[in-house]
Amino acid sequence: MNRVFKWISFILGGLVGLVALSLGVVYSITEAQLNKSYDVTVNPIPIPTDSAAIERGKHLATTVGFCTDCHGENLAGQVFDEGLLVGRLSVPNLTRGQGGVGDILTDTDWVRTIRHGLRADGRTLIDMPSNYYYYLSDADLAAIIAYLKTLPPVDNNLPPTSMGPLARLFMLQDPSLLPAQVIDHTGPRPAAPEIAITAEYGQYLANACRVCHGDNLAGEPGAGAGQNLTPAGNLAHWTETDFIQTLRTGVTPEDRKLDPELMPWDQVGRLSDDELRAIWLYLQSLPAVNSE
Amino acid sequence: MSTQQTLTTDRLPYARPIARITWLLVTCLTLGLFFAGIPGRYEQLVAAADKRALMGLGLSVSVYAVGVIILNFIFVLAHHLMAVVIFGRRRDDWMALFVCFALVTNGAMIPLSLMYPPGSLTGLGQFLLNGVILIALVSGVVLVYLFPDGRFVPPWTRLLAITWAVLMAAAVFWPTSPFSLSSWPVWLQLLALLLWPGIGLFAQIYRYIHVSRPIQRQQVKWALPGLIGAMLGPLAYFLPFVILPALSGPVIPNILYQRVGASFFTVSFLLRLSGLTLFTFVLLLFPLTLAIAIMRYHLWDIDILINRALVYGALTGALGLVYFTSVVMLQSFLIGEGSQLAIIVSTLAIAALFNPLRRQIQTLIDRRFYRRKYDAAQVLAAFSATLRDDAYADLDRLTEQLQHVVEETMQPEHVSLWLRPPGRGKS
Repeated sequence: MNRVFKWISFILGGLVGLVALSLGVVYSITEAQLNKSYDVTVNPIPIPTDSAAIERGKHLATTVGFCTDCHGENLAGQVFDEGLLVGRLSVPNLTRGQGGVGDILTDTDWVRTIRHGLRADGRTLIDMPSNYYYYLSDADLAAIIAYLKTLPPVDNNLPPTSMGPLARLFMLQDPSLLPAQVIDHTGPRPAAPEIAITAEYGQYLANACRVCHGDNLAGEPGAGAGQNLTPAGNLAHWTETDFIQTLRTGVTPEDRKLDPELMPWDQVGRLSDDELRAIWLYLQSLPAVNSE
Repeated sequence: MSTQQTLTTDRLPYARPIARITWLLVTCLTLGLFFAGIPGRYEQLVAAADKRALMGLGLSVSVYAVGVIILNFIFVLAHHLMAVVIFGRRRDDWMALFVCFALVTNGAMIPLSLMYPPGSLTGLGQFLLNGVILIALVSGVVLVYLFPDGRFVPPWTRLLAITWAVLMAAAVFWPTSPFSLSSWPVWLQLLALLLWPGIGLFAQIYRYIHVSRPIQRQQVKWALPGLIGAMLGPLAYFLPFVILPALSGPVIPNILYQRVGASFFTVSFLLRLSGLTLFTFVLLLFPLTLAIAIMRYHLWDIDILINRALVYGALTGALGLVYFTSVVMLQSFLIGEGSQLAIIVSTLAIAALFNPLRRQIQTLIDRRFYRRKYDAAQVLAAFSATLRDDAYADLDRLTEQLQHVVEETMQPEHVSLWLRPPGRGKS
């Protein structure tokens, strides 16, 4: 019996040692990733102060920018705490209030943050979807920054983000969680389409839709993931009016209610008719992909 | 053996009846609050459930909510059952009565504080709830200073117990006062929540080495894991995030959810759920190890009653689990009319299982906790059968069978049988 216990102790001790070693390796690699400094030359863009630009910035930030989703309705930040094993994600307070970054970031820092996913010191941000915002035109990015700079100050001191072992494992598995890793910081800037009811402009607006609906917008597997938006999906039976009506009311032509927690129709529905038409045109132009 | 009574009631003839009536009232109150809070807790769980993670696991929100409530119910039931059994037999013993208070209130504290978040009750309701929570917070820690004989050992722990009671009273009734633990910085709270129980642990070790008699040492050995479980109660009450991950918080937006990956959050949800379950079972050690101390080492001499409670408690749990599993499984195969059939089949299965399962559990418990009685009966029965059947068999075979039976039932390190050689010793 003693021998059995001795063997069990050896095996358990070995397993614990192995797990500790693996955790140590994962920690070292991810710390190196988090602390890596990116030497990126940020091209400064002039930030407008006129009300039209600020209004445009607000419009983008609260619709297809999805900024309020993570930073909260007043953009004063919030904390998503998943416990010690997973970690705690503190999404920053963007206002000029106590604990906010509004008074700290310069115009260049704002550009670096949103477009390149980098902090002022050149280290990567965690889970900021900059790889989707990278495509924003200079004018639209400047408008968003202009809007963020006018936010009323809200005092909200947030605890620092902490990464548990599980979050670090996922960081290794999915490089896009550290956006600076997946952005081509020196590549040519994508051309900005003209604001018009065109598929090109629709594509520009629908960029962030890819987060849930997949890179080809053909839907993603997994709980809460987006549906197939290509002509092979359910939208094949819809008209442009159905599409706009669905995003305005949250009810599909099949009388199915969209859950705003899963599909933020209430945000996307704030786009103008022309913008929604442009997105519809773009979706119609996609190749049919059968995702079943 | 029974514990020593260290408090005399000669000068306070009504103290004991008052304590008993208070215990009965507290028990009724905790049960009343628990059952009254179930619908609200259900709605709270449904609203806060991570639908996407549940979807990923193929579970409905209602199954999840009912599951968590059942877990809470098991927790409350185990504590209350043990308290009722001890109260029924040893209500004259002050220490036993104190344990009854600790069991009832500690069993209810965490479920009730989740069911009734601050502001959900007002006036008398809030006052009574605070009273229950205060008794739980104080008794959970002071018990470690007193167990098993009701004396403060070392004597200076009495002062610590009084300080703890004052701190807890301030925290529960005047949470914003400077004496309240809740108004202290987290590190100081953590320090206090580890210091007082830690000294309790030291007191138990001191008692074990310097004071306890052998039988008390055996009782403490078994009860100590449970006492540690009880000491975790205040930690879970004041700093839930240290033990349990995020009990509340904003819903994770889908854009973040999908970006990080559904599997990540599903794993996180599973971890949270298993953490909650594990924590519940750790806290369940309190009544369970007390039961073992009672059964194996005759703490308060109520082992027979505990035996029955354990058998029927385990039987109820096992049958409930079988029923629930079979209904869920059968309903997934039989759609439509089949749901009625699933309930009928499951009920019949429960009826058929009742007696065989009860016998199995009784045997298992006798074997684990009434070893001497069980073994003696088994050895005698087996050996007498062998003698009867193989009356004319050779001695070697009888020897082998005797050794086998002894090994099976007593599980000794080794067995040796000494036989007097034939002819020796004869006059």
